[in-house]
Amino acid sequence: MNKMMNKRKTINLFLSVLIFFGTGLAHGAGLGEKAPDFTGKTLGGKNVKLSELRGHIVLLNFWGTWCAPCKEELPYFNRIYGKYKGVGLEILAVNVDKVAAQAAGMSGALGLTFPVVLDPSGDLFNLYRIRNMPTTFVVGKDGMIHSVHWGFGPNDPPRYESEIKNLLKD
Amino acid sequence: MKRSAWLLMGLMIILTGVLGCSSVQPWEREYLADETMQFDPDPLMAQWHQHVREIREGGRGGFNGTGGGCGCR
Amino acid sequence: MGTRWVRLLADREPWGPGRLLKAVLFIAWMVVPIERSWAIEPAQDEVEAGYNYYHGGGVTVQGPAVIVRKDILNGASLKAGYNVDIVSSASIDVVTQASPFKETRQEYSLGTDILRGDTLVGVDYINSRESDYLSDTLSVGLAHDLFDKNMTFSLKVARSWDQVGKNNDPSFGWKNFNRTIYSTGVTQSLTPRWLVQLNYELTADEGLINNPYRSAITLSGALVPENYPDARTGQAWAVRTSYGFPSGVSEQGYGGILSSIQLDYRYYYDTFDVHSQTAKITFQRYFYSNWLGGVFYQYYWQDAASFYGDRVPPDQLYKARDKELSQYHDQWVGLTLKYKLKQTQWGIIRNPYIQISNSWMVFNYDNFTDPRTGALYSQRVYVVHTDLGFNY
Repeated sequence: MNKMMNKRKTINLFLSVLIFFGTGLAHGAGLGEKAPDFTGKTLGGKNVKLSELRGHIVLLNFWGTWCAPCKEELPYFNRIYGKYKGVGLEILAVNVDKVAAQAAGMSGALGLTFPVVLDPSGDLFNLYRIRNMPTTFVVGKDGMIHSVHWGFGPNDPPRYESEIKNLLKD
Repeated sequence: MKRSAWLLMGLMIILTGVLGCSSVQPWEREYLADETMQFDPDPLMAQWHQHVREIREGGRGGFNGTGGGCGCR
Repeated sequence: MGTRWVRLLADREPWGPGRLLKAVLFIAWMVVPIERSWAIEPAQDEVEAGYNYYHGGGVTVQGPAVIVRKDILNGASLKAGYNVDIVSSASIDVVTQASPFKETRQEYSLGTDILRGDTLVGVDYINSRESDYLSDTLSVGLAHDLFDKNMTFSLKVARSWDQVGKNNDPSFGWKNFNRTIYSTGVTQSLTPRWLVQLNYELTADEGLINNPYRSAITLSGALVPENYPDARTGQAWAVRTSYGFPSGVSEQGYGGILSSIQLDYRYYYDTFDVHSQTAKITFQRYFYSNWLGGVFYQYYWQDAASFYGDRVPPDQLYKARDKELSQYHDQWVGLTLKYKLKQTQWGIIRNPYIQISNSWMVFNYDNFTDPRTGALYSQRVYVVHTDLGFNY
């Protein structure tokens, strides 16, 4: 009985230690901050500068071909891009694959209609302090970060829809 | 048994401090996401080999653990 | 089953205010969404079905196995499994002390994994049954990511309640055997291509530990019942490491892992005085982007239990003649081949694969003899596993 109590107390102590260390999650680039400006090269070879998209709502997505939830998310973005592009929505998908052909292959297979920005060295990921794959920033017309989405799950589509509709009204 | 539990706790705390310094960024986990970089990625094969070990070896345990992978959420 | 649940609850500490508060916080944290980390990984729904085969030492075990996993709610997935062992045994113990037999063991498993933020909680139940052995196992596991997911800490407790019977001997009845396993481990990504894992596992057995069919042999050659202590506690310390080699940039643009090497080592010791070491190396390589080949080699060696004897003095209290408690070593070599279609969709089926693993084991016993010849025993075993699966 004493041995069982000691074991249980030790396990309790472990749990406390790990909760202490673990619950302090680092934050990425923050809500209410101005979205850091950058110039990136797309798959199509063109340059794109974030500040030139001022006046549009920008979904700034960070992804990789090796990330399963990213692959769920991109076809959804394709659909809303088709729906809201004409009224001021832009999507930039920043890809971190070391080899551009991987990103090109997946973009082609999924039939993506929005620009894919190549960032093999991860500089943009560093700039936006990405802590999770995938991460999407919703940037308002004023260039401020309106919200941050970590990951992609069943709750995200309705949230994106309502956010975009609200921001379009401004 | 009590002594090895204390030893383990000390080891864990030291490890948490020392190894916490390593910094693989979330976007650098491409290789770790691959199945060849994971321990026992195939549950059925791992289950069968574990079963064979349990029947034929006197030793038990030690090869269950969670971690690695892409950490994508 | 009712008495088992009462025992499980009775084992716990008394419910003081501290414990109650922890329980309430834990449940609240599980149920209430935490806005900033409401980032749920869509669980990979999958089906895997396979076939197992073991042949050697006069024993053949084979049967199908299947696992299905489905995401049911945000962050919660359910998994169910079923496997069968069809046993045909004429092993060294069976042919020298009894007669060859056939047996079928069925195993059902049900489990759930719940992911909240950086923590995964898993609960699993396994039921195994054959004509002379019934087993229920319940396990609860927790895994938590720390330091930007560079470190994963895991903790698991499993408890088995087994009933041991004896065919053709109604007077034997059913005897209890309980096993509790505590495991903990830390997995750390040291570099983008290097992973390390440290594990500790404690296995505590109590009840009828020996096989009721096996007899020990005295110095004069008479068969006597084995007698084991009614408790056995074993501890295992293991380290595993995995290192990947990138393919470099090629015209096809394949920039991922080309091959990897994995090393495992485990040291085990227990209160029966068994000490063992396991060392394993695995090498895997991709070919033509859809094929994955692997080869592994494992070396295992152990010292005998303190009361083990090929022949024992009749007045020795504890007696064991189980070759798995003797001093021996074995080598296990295997080849695996997998064909996997990534980024492929056929209707509802995504990423299908098929694989086969062939392996060979050779056992050499240092103090277990074949009673028919008096020579030291050895056996060769052929182990095969094949399976196919897909996401959906």
